[in-house]
Amino acid sequence: MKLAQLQRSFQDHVLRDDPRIAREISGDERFPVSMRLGVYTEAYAARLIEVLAETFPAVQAALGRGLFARLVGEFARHHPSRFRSARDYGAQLPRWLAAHLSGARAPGIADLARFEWTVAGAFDAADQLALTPASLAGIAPAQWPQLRFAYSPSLRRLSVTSNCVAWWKFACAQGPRPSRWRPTRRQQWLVWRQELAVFYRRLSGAESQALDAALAGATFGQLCEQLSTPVVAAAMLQGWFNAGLVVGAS
Amino acid sequence: MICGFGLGLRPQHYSEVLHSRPPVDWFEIITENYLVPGGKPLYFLDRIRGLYPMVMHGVSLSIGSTAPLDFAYLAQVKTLARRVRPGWISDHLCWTGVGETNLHDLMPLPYTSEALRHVATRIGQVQDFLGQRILIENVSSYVTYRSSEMTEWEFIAALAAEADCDLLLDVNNVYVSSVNHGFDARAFLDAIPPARVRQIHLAGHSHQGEFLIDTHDTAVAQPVWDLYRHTAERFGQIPTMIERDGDIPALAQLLAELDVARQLACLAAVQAA
Repeated sequence: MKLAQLQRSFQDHVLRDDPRIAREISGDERFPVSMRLGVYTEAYAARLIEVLAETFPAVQAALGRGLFARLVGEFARHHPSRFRSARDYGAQLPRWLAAHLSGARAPGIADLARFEWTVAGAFDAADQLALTPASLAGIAPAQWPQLRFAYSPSLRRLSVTSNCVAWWKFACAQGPRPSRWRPTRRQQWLVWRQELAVFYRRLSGAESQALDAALAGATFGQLCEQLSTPVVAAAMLQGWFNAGLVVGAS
Repeated sequence: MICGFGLGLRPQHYSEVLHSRPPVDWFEIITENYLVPGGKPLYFLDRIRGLYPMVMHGVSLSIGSTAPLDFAYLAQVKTLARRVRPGWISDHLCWTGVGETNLHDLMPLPYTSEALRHVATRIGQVQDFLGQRILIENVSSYVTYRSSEMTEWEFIAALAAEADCDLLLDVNNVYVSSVNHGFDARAFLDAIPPARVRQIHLAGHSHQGEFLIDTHDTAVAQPVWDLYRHTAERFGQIPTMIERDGDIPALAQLLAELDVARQLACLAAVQAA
C-alpha cells in the first residue's frame, strides 16, 4: 500500500473504525492488531476530551465528567479537528450542545459553553497598550465630536438568555451554587482582558448599543447623539478607558 | 549555546521559574503553545527567555504526512523563532493527519524507501524555509507496518544522512517501542550516528498490561535510566531534558529527577575517561 493510501486508511480507522488498515499491521498473541490500533483510537478521543475539558471546565462541572465525556466524544467523532493547535478546537461545541442536550438546563449549558469559549478567546488575544484619558489632553474640544476610538483586541461581546454566568462563577468558586438553571431576558455581556487578567461584566441596554456602535466605527459625536447627552457619553467612555478597553484614538 | 540539563517549560511552573530561578541550564518550549496572539503565554515566555536559553519543540509539523506542508504554520514558527532565538527547532518523525484533519497524535510511519524519500525531501524544504537545520525526534509506536523494509533505527540513520538533519533522541520512546515491538533497545541506540544527536529526551511511561504507553505523566522509569546511562556512554555530553505533560508535579520534584540524569551522565563521563 502506498504511503498516502496507508495514512488515509489509518486515519479512517481512528475517526470511523474503518477496518482496512488492520491488514497492513503486524500483530502477535501478546499484543494483537486490534489492541495496537486501539491505542490510537482511544488516544484520539481521550485527547480531544481532555482539551475540551480544559477549555470548558464549567460545562464539564455542570454536566459531570461522565456525561461530558460522552457528549464531547460524540462531538469529536462528528467534528474532526482541522486545527494545528488543539486550543482552537471547540468553537462549534456550544452549538453542538444546544442541539444535542435536552431538558430545562440545555439552553443554559449551551450559553455557558459560549461564555467559556469567549473567555478563552480573550485569554490569549493580542496585546495592545491601553490609552489613558491623559493621552487625549492635547485634543482641542472642537475636535472631540470627530474622534473615533480603537478598542482592545481582547474585547468580546456576548448575549445570553440564561443564568449561565452565575453557574460559571460557581464552577470557578467565585459564587454560590444557583438554585437551578433559569431562563432570563436577553442579557448583554462584555468580556475582555486587562494585562493578564480576564474580566467580564454585564452591560446595560444603552451601553451595549453604544459599544456596538463604537466598535462599528461611530465617532464620539455620534455616541453623544445616541446617548442623548455628552455627559452620559463621556462617563461611559471614561469607564471604557478605566477598564483598558480603549487602545487608540484618531 | 545549549548545554547541560533542561526541563520542558510548563505553565504550572511559570511563576516559580521567574521568582526562584531554579538550577536548570535551559528550557524547552512546546512551539504550538506560543503560536498565540498575546496574553499570559507570551508574557511569561519573554520573561523566562530573558533568564534562560531555550529550544523550540513542535508537535504539528507532520513531516511524514502526504498532505502538503503547511507553510502558514511554518511562517508562524519562523516568527516565533525570531522572538525566542532558540538553540534549535525540533519536531517528530511522524504524521499527524491527512486531508486537513489533525489527529493531534504522533502517528508512526512505515519504514520504507518511499517514506524515506518523502520525509527527507520535506525536511529539506522545511530547513530551507527556516534557514536552519532542524532536529527530528523518534516517537513511541504501537504498530508495525507489514510494508516496512528496514528497522526504525536504520530508517532514522538513513534519514539523517539523506536529509542532512540532526536528531533528538528520546530514550523513553526507544524503550517503549522496544518493549511493544520486541526489539533490543541498545541495538537501536548503537545504530544512531553520534554526530547527528543534538538533544536527548527523558520521560515517564505507563503500563497497559504487558505494553507500554508513552504518557509523560509519571517519573522516568528505572529501565529508561539504565538505557540513558548507556546513551550517555555512547553519545557523550548531549543536552538532556525531562518532559512531563500530565500529572505535573512540583518543580522541585522534576529538579530532583534531573539531578539523577546529571549523576548518570557524570558516571558515564568518568567511565569514558
